[in-house]
Amino acid sequence: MSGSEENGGGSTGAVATDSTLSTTSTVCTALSVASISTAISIDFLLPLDSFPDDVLFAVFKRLDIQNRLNCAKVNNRWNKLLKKWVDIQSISISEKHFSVKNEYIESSVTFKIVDTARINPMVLTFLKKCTHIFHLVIHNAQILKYFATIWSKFQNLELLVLPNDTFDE
Amino acid sequence: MQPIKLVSSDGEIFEVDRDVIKLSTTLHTMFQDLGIDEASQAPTDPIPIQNVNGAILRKVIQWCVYHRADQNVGDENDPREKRTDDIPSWDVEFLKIDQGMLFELILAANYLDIKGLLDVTCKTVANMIKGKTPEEIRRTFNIKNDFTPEEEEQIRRENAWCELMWKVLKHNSLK
Repeated sequence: MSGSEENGGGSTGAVATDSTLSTTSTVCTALSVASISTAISIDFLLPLDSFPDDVLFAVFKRLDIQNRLNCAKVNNRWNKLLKKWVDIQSISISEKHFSVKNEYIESSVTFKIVDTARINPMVLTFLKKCTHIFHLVIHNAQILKYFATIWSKFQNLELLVLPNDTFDE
Repeated sequence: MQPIKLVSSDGEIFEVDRDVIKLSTTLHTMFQDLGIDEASQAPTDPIPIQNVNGAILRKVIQWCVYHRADQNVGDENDPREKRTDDIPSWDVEFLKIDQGMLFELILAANYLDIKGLLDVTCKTVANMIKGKTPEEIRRTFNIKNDFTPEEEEQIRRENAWCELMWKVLKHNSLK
């Protein structure tokens, strides 16, 4: 055994005392390293869903209303994360429009119908998602009435603007 | 000013100029806390970046080197920062990488707190989501639909009023 070590077996400083064994194990190691690295390159593909909540939400912050609504339908986690739009800083609501703003986006949806009985619950659903807002502009008396029922949830609200047209009939 | 040595999670060592390092708020704050300023000697031991491997750290440093001069442009008030669909062309080329690497880059930018890199990488993912249906999003990112049929029905009902929305007026428009 010690004799074969002197032959070297091509492996400098190898601990193995038998050169044949040493060569074989080197080949084996090389093979297993190769297969491991292949496995890693596939497995290693980090899924988007492995992001921590705050990082995933950093992506959502850059999406407008419509795309957020689509994302909320992807899976349970995304749905839960998008229950509240904590990044929205200001909102403007009229009879026809709902607009939101954060540090990255400004997004607005227009309501297809002008039937306040149907629009107001919609607006309320949107509003309840954005209770962290600082600024709110309401152009419509009906919506203002709805807002009055939930205003206490808006702890950050600094400015409520009721433009001249709010009380127009 | 001597460069500072960083060592990745897998032991790769990088020498980085201090004005490049400054783009990482995490490292910049750490140096300030340790009392290392521009005049002082660089630490002899490389700084371990535990959560980032060599391949990703190389990419991060490459981005920071290219953008080292940007740092004086106030990122708070710079309107160029606010465009979601407008990613600088150098960054677009830089981010032509596979999804896994893009996501690793986001995590590294988040960990090292490199605002500009986090912004541009998150924008890139946001752009991959835009305009897609939930099923298309799942397919793009290999996400499993874990809703029960009941939950799915409930979400459909909750969102029924979305049909009443006419169109998205300003699509992530510039402020």
